[in-house]
Amino acid sequence: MAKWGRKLPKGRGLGIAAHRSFLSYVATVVEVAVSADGTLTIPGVWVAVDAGTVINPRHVRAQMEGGTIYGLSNALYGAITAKDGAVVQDNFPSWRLMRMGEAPRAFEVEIVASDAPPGGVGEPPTPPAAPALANAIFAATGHRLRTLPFIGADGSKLALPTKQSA
Amino acid sequence: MAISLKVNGKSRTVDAAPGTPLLWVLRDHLGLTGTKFGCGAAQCGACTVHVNGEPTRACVTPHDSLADAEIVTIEGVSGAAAEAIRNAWIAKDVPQCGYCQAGQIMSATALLKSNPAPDDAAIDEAMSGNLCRCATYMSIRRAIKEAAATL
Ligand code: FES
Ligand code: FES
Repeated sequence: MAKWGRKLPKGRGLGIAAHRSFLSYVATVVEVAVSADGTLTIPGVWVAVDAGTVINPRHVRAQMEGGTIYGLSNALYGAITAKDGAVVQDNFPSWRLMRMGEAPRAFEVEIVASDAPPGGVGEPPTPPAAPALANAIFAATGHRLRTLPFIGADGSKLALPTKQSA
Repeated sequence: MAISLKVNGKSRTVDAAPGTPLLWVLRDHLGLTGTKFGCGAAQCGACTVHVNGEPTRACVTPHDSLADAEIVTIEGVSGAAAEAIRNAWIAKDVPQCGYCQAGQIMSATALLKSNPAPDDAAIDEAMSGNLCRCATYMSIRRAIKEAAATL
């Protein structure tokens, strides 16, 4: 569904990750576009889920979209730090969430047909989002980012190593 | 000091401390609890209402600055754009937990009133002030486009 392996223009990359939890399997492909200055957009996300018997496919789709964006949001922006025994981030100015304009532009969900016992769909899409995103950034830029969050509450771009330090 | 406010087409008398944000006047004085509190800092859009047709963050708008204004909340929003948004929201099953959705609907309705055929960039601009922790953004975009197509 994501056309894995397709040729992409410079600065674009696909990343993949998969995960099992709550009896459900979720595989996620993220496409990123990273400009030379580190500005990131997410043109597309593709999620395949095997959650066993599915009663309400529209709910599953909504959870896949929401749980994935929750994971992308945390990976890009969501630092939580503690100081003097209290969490520093106390409201949205310091605890940044993904907004409409930053969300993926296209999102496809495929539900694997199964009559196995029903699994969860709320949390399973979240764990593979960050590694799929990080792998896509590596595919697009050649850089492995190893410090979360990649952008942070105040940033606007990925902190890519400069040529000299790379 | 008691002042008169026009809310959802009706004149209401409110006696609240000077500077009390409109959000608390709506919720605590007038019992209009459809408008939600998310941040109190104009960051999340949960408290969005229309003031003279403009989407406005009620949490940072002093009620006593609105003496001559037309205030419309989620309980009172009506008209072709609101109807189209309501139908598309139901058809696309947009809400998840629902907490942000009154604000999303007020922003989306104001968008369609001013721009009946918004493109993706216009949707981004009009809707980026409304956070959704359940991340229903994909559904919101689909529903706005569907609503626009029916207008
Ligand atoms: S409560 Fe008003 S913008 Fe968040
Ligand atoms: S539907 Fe839950 S916060 Fe938007």
